Amino acid sequence: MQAQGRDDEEAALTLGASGWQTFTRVTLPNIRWALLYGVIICSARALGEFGAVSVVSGKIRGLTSTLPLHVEILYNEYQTVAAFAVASLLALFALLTLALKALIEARTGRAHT
Amino acid sequence: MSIDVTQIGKQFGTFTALSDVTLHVPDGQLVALLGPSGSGKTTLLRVIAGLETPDTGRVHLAGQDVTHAGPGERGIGFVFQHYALFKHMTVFKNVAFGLKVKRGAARPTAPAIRDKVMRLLSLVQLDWAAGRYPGQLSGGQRQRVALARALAVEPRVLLLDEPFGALDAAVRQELRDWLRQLHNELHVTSVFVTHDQEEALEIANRIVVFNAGRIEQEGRPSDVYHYPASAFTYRFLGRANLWQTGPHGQTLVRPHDLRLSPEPAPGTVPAQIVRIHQVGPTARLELSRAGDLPSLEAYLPARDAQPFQVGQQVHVTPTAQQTYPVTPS
Ligand SMILES: Nc1ncnc2c1ncn2[C@@H]1O[C@H](COP(=O)(O)OP(=O)(O)OP(=O)(O)O)[C@@H](O)[C@H]1O
Ligand SMILES: [Mg+2]
Repeated sequence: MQAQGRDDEEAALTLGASGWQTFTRVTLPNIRWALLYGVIICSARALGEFGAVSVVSGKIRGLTSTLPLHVEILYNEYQTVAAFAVASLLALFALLTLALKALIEARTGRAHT
Repeated sequence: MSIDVTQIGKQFGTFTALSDVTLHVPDGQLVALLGPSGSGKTTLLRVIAGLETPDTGRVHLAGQDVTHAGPGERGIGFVFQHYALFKHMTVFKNVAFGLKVKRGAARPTAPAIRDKVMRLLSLVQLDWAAGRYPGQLSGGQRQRVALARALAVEPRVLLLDEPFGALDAAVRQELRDWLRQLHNELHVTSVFVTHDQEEALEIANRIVVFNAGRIEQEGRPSDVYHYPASAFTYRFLGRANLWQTGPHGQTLVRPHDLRLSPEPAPGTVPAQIVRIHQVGPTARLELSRAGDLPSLEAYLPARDAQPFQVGQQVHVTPTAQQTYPVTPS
């Protein structure tokens, strides 16, 4: 947002737009792809996190365990098939995120040319 | 709508961007703000627009005090140097923006907006580009969209910050003529900032020369050009030679006000031709003088320069000159 400068917002203000109109019609559309990109990268990061969650969460099954933690629990209980099934699910999420990210990159890339 | 700024002062931290600036722009005039980089031109324009709050002084539009009014309440149109078009909107939507954000009864109906936007787009000769995005237009076309967008809200004052600064010479000239013509048609009070003396002298009714946050001189273009009040203005409005420094101050001469002859005459000074450049119809001669007198630059019509050669000894005399007291600075 800093790189984009304040010109657009100032232009909107001189044209009589209110602060809210300026935000919703100019600022937000300008940053919407960057915002979505941030959300996706953030969820991918949260989805895969293991160490910190493992230490903090207490690993209560069905309450504070996450997918990566669940893989560990199942594995430790010698439920190999179930562990791999959950791991596959996780991999599927990763692929989905990757596809979304590529899609957004393509959109923003086009918007800047 | 007339503009009055009175004793405006503006600091950025410890830096004084404007100090005691007072300026009156009568209704319907086209005024140019001219000055070196960093002299405060943009800052003054932004103060008039309400994008910057002055530390001291007042701003009146049509006699009404707007010092603390927001930019949207002043009835101004602002054209930014880098256009500041909304990239995610089509040209049509950009121009319609100011009408669509109007509230309540002030907001025109959709067909009325459509009519008006198309009228403005044909005024700037871009009706064919209504559906395009700014990214698909050239610099000159973008600037015209920015102008149409500013005009859509029917501003009573148009403020333009180096509107043609980022364009090449031919497009500049074209838009310059076009702005002059537009101003003749609409008579909207306009203030524009420029670096280009020629542009200012050509299209403005009045010129205001800035120097380090203060107004150095203001007046009609021909007056300011022919009677610069200070050495600063003289040097800023065109090339200047330092002819001599005497007891009354420094005497300055324009390159096209020097006359050269092969023979000495009363009042002439000997000089040697160091270099001759042909620039289109004009020949530029570089002359060195004896002793510690500064060298000179002379512009002659190319035809008159033909008899002269590099290395030749000539005799120079000014046909017009200005003497200014040397200010301690
Ligand atoms: N927001 C700001 N914060 C700090 N300093 C500023 C700010 N805006 C402008 N200045 C300073 O104020 C001075 C005047 O700036 P201004 O933009 O008015 O100059 P200008 O005459 O328009 O110059 P140019 O011809 O280069 O555009 C400059 O030295 C600039 O660095
Ligand atoms: Mg500026």
